[in-house]
Amino acid sequence: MLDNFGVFRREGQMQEQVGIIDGLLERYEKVVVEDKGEVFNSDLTQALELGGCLELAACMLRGGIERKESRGAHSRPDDFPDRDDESFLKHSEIRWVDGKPSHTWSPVTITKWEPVERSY
Amino acid sequence: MQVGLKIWRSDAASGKRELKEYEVDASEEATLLDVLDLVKDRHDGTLAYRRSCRMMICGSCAMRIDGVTVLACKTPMKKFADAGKAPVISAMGNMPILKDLVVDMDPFWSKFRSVNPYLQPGYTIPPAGREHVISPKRMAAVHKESLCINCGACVSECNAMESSPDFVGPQALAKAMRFVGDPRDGAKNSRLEELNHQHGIWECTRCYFCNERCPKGVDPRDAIAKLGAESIKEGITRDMGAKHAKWFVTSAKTTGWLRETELVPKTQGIVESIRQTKFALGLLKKGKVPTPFPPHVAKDVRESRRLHDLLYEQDERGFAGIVQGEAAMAKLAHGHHDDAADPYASGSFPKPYLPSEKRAR
Repeated sequence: MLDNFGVFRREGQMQEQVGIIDGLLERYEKVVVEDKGEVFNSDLTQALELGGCLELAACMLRGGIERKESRGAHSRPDDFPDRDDESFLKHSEIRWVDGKPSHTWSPVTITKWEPVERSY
Repeated sequence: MQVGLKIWRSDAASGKRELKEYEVDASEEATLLDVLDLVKDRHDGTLAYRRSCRMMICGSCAMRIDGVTVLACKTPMKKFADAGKAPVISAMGNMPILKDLVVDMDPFWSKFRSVNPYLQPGYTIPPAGREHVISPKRMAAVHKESLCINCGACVSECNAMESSPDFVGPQALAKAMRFVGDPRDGAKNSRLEELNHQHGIWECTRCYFCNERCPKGVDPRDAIAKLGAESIKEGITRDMGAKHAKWFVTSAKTTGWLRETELVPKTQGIVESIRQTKFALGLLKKGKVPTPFPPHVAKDVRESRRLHDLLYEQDERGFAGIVQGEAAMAKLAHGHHDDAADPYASGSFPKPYLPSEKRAR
């Protein structure tokens, strides 16, 4: 994730990372917890955390690929270097459906501060 | 580099302990925590230890290496690897072991809570909607105590707590000082009252292990000294410890030396002194204590009296005096001030003077 999904994102790297995460999620099906104890079983908690991290990584990648613009810490200098409020001034919502992330958009409620492009 | 270490494993269910040896290949800059992570990832997933931030902020990974309590994330392993030594890693002391390197922190937290570690509304409450503005200089008085990350290293090493498990302990007392010394807090005297109980500030044996081992420079023993000084300043002196300390002051002020023979009646009372008469006579016979009469008066006793009076004149009693002393020592140690060589330079405690000298202005 550090190599392929930092601030500057490229389509090819993101797709490659999706493959890596899918592979890891498959391996995770067979994860082994050595510690069988009931007290301070950090082996178990770490295994659970790992599963959570992998699913979250899959969700992040999905959101990154869908957002075909540059905004804040999501920058696509090669294909979409500019901010696109018309198409993407909205939230990514991702649900875990049938063992994979499912992506939808939801509108942004604008209150006191009008969103404007940063031009400094 | 190849790092070897021996870990005291402890089974959670049976409590059975066993010393197990491990060897891992780690990078040159690896800390003890990195090495433990490697052991858990590559060799034995059942190893239990607490850890979170890996950068001396969270205070989770306190444990013992060769008997010394440290933060695992602050302990480089290179020196051990270079020396070809496999250090022994064990859980902290003074707290029951749950499993391997994990101890039960419940007693620690209940002592922590017992000192009411939160600000009580003060004497001066700012008008509604305004912040409570305090100068950095006034807050600097509790800077060291504020650094505490509740890791438990001081409690692990506390000798007083080893013999008296109910002792409030260095961490809770350092935290108490953080609020006693806070200019915004309005509960100073009731806090001091509460800390003067049987297992409070005066139960500390002053071994200074907590100062030595604290990974954050909190100096809990110094905080306990500040609480004692402030208690005496506020007239909370019913504890034997306070009476004992007060007698040192009286004795130094009057004769310049400690008059040990009078220490017992002043501290423990007349009845107890009479009970200990036989013991005292034995000491006297063996030359362990001086005879009470005539009292041994120091040659330059006026200097000692003058120092005492100076403290009172300038009202630098209580914790403020200790904080000022610390600031002067820090100036000497770090030397980043122009007047680093002189702890009595402008803005500081005036230099004490002998009666024969001219009074410094």
